[in-house]
Amino acid sequence: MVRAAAGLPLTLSQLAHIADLLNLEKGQSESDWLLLLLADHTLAFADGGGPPPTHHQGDHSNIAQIAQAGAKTLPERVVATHLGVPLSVAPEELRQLAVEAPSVLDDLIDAAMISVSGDLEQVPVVLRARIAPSSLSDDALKEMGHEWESYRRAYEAGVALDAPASTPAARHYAALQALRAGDTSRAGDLISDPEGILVSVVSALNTGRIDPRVLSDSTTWDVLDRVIDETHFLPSSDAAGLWHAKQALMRVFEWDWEEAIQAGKQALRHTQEEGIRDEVLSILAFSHFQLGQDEAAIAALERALEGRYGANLQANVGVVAEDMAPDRAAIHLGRLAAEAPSLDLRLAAVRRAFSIWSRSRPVWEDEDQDASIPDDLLGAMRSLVVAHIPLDDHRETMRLLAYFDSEWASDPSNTSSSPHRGTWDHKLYVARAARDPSAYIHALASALSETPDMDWLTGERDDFVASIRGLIFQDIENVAPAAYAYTAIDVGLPMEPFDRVALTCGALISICRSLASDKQEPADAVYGHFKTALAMVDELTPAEREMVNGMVDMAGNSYAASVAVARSAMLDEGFNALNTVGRRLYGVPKHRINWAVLADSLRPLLEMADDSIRALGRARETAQQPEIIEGIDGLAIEFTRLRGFAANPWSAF
Amino acid sequence: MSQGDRRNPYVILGVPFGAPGEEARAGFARMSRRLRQKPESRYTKEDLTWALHQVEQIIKNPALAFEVYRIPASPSALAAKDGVFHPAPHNIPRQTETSSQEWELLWRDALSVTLRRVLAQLIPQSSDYVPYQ
Repeated sequence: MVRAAAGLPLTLSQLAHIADLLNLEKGQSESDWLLLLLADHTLAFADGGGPPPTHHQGDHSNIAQIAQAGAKTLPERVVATHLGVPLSVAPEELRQLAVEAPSVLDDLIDAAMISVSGDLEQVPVVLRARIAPSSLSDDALKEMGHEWESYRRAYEAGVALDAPASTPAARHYAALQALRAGDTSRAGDLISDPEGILVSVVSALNTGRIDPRVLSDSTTWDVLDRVIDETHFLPSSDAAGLWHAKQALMRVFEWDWEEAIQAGKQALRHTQEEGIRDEVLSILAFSHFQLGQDEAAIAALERALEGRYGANLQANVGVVAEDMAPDRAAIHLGRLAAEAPSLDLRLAAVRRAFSIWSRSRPVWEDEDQDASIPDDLLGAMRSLVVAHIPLDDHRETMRLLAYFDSEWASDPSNTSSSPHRGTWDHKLYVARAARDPSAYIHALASALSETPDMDWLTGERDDFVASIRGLIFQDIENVAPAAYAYTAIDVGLPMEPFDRVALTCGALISICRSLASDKQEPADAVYGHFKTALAMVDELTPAEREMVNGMVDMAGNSYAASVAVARSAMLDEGFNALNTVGRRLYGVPKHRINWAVLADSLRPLLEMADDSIRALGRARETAQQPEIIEGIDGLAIEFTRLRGFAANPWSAF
Repeated sequence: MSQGDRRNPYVILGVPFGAPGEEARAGFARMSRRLRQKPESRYTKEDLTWALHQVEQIIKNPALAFEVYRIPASPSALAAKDGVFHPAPHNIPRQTETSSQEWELLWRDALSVTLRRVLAQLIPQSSDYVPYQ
């Protein structure tokens, strides 16, 4: 109480009165007072205020936690560490403590009760060497002559330390290195540790008898590997579990899967420590996997994943499940993709998951509308596509979403926060997701006209053209692909001459087949596209020409046949009309017929005949098949005859 | 990895997943010696060569190599913590003697500050007791 009074302008009696007011018991030490006050201060404000609480001699470990939180100033926080709660200080506070209470700071460092949070570069080098030597560079250590840390680093890095050494640090680490290799000849140079572990290790290697205390330090196990076995560990202890786990890992690296499984099972029997058990389960899974016991492998990994999340465990399921259960692999990798800590990892996981998931599905050739991607994978893809990822990755992810999540991807508002939303890499796949081929073709044509040299874009175009061509010939009666082909040609989708010729011919064949059943002929524009394609044949290489020749002939014949069928029907209609007129005029004297009016009424017939003769002439140019040519010639003769009657009615009646 | 090829390059070289090229080459040498001693091993020299090629040339970034089983999955789980053969970094020795006087001053400051704050916040008439706060 005297100490407290000295810090305040109070007499001892005044302080005693305050203690009464605050319910501090006079029998308690001042350190208890302080901690209780700090704790109550925190609690009182956490509870929203209230009357001063009653103090009791309580559990200091609980109070200390609260007191630490209640301590505001540096002196309060330093003093509060007296109950075992470590102190974390900012660099500037560390510097302050080093100036105002260097001895206290050293006490805290020696007791490992203080750490620095923040930028260590703001801490003077000497102070860092005292409190955080691992943060110093090798050069800084050398400059300040801190050879113990320099030699420790060399030892940990595996640098050979067998040169004659003159200093205690050099001799100690050279001897420690030798001892780690089983050589006790330099044991005299070792600086003993407080627990005498090193002495026990030397003794064990020399005599084969082990002091059980030595096993409390697991760094000795590898050194003593030839003299320790499971009998040296207490059964069902975490140490025994760890030892068996390490044995299992060693057996894996010796390619002995059966022994690894045995050791792993022993480890599981001995430890409940989750980190060790998860690792052992992963080792077991790998060993089972190598032995072809896939179900056991997956079961072990899924058991490991029941607890805390582990990215590597999740990835391992992907490897094991890849062959036997692609869906399970994709689900686990999808989860990994959703939870991975970095964009790179998430992207790689998505790629891997998708690759495994899609392997057993012919999705690229046939748009499988029923295929559903695992939810986690889909969620990961949706979040990636709006993230700051490279453009190539964005495009690839959008492409997948356009296929497998088209409803979501076709709504631009879902991806409007993407930094790539203004690029064709993005817009093209939004259009594709909408499943409106016309919109997609327009977007593709616009993109190619703006950026004609992008490989991915020309590849997309080539895929589209090949796909349309394939669809045309897959079901020649279905005119929809032919219509898309003409849309592509009409909007000027840039494409190679070979593709243009092939696409035009394929579409023409499909259209003609469809129209022939209705006795209709293709529109003039179709003939125009065909003429353009024919002109392009000269631009093709000999090999390409050879490939398209048959197709061009077939298209020409189809066109000619279609025109012939349609015009044949029109010819019949023309003669029927003429006959009808003839029947009406039957018996009427020729001088009573108004030939001028009759000629006017037959003018449509005349124009139809002219048009047909022209169309048949055009069709004849495209036909290669003699039967079709012969038929066209016959029709042309008949249309000429019809034309003659329509032009000179008196010759007919 | 196909069903017929379940080889793991790191395991074949006897090194942990993600080990750098230097460690892989050391593993290659170690396992080559092992093969000479035990010619009837599970893997052959060709497997070792394949494994080293994988680690040095194919697997550019192990973290992204999801086709490779990761052993250990959690490297720290089985790693030995600090101990005599894995010593903690050395702090430089202290330059001061323990000073009870410094501690005394800190205690006084801490008590003073805490009392002032608690009194000021919890007892309205605290200025009667701590006139110079």
